[in-house]
Amino acid sequence: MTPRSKPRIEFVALLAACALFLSTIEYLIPKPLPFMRLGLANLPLIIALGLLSWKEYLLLALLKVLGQALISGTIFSYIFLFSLAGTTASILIMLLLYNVLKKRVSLIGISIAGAMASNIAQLLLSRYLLFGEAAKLVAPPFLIVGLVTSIILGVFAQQFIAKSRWYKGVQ
Amino acid sequence: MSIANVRLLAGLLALPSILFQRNFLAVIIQCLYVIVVAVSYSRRFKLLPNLILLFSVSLAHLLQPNGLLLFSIGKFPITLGALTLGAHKAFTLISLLYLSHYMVTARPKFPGLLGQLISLQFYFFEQIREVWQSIKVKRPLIGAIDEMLLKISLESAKVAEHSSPRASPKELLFNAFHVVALWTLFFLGYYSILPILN
Repeated sequence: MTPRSKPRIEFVALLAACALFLSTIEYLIPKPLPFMRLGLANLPLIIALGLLSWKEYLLLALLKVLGQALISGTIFSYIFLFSLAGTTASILIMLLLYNVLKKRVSLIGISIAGAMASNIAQLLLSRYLLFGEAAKLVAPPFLIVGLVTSIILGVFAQQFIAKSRWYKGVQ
Repeated sequence: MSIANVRLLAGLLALPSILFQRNFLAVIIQCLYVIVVAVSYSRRFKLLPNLILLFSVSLAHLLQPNGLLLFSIGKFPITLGALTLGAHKAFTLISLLYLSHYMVTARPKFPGLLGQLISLQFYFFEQIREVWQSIKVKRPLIGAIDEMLLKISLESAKVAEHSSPRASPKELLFNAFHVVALWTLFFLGYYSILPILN
């Protein structure tokens, strides 16, 4: 992450728009539970780790959550809380891992850690808001789906960074 | 006041009437009312996700037996209290979801840097949709995404200002009616004028 005093708002907005585009694709895929997500919209967050300052990164995460909530109309509902909790936990872990263990952990590892942090935060929230003690019953499938999709996203992000001309241009 | 802000305000005013509802029948009626309002403002209603939420939350609450024993499946007790508690929670969540849908139907605009960023985000979102549709060969996927990002990055961002029209007296009246209706249901439940089902 490079330190910058002023956020590049157009660039952040472009990445946030990509997250929104991916979340609309994900919206078309049926889910067994309303807050259960594949996490496609996290792809720009993984790719942006090497492109944005931490301030810009936090703005991107906020825009991702707000944009998704506005487009799906869930901004004043419990789904927004799940999204906010998941994204916050995920970006904090990913930022920490990327900055502390930069060379020793791949984007796949960072993606898995982010997904697990997000899923655990959402499970804790569902324990209080939805399911009570029974939240532990939904935990295994929820975490397994998170693990599988985060590996796929991590591999995709790594491939994209290696091959993309756009990424090389903006780096 | 703009239509967007009127709906946002009406939703915020009606929110506590759903959140603090204690009567099971009243929360069901509030839920149906909010769904009808959201659908009347062109929001889509999908039955299946709501049914899944209703059943999954109700089932989760059955794990903590509460109240009258209805019947047992093996050693697993099905209790009325647990069922209604779970269903009540699910109906509240569904109501809040559709209230939220209604509140953002006219795309409220947020002030300051965040508002500017959200406008830019939606501008780029439209660009992405257009450019993505124009790309004929989408395999390999990484190449197609790369082409799309390069095309969009070349264009300068011209944010189309979105302004919501002013609310007419009729619009104000309709939205006020929704708030009054939801609070009336709250008080009908609060004073047990509506029958208590649980």
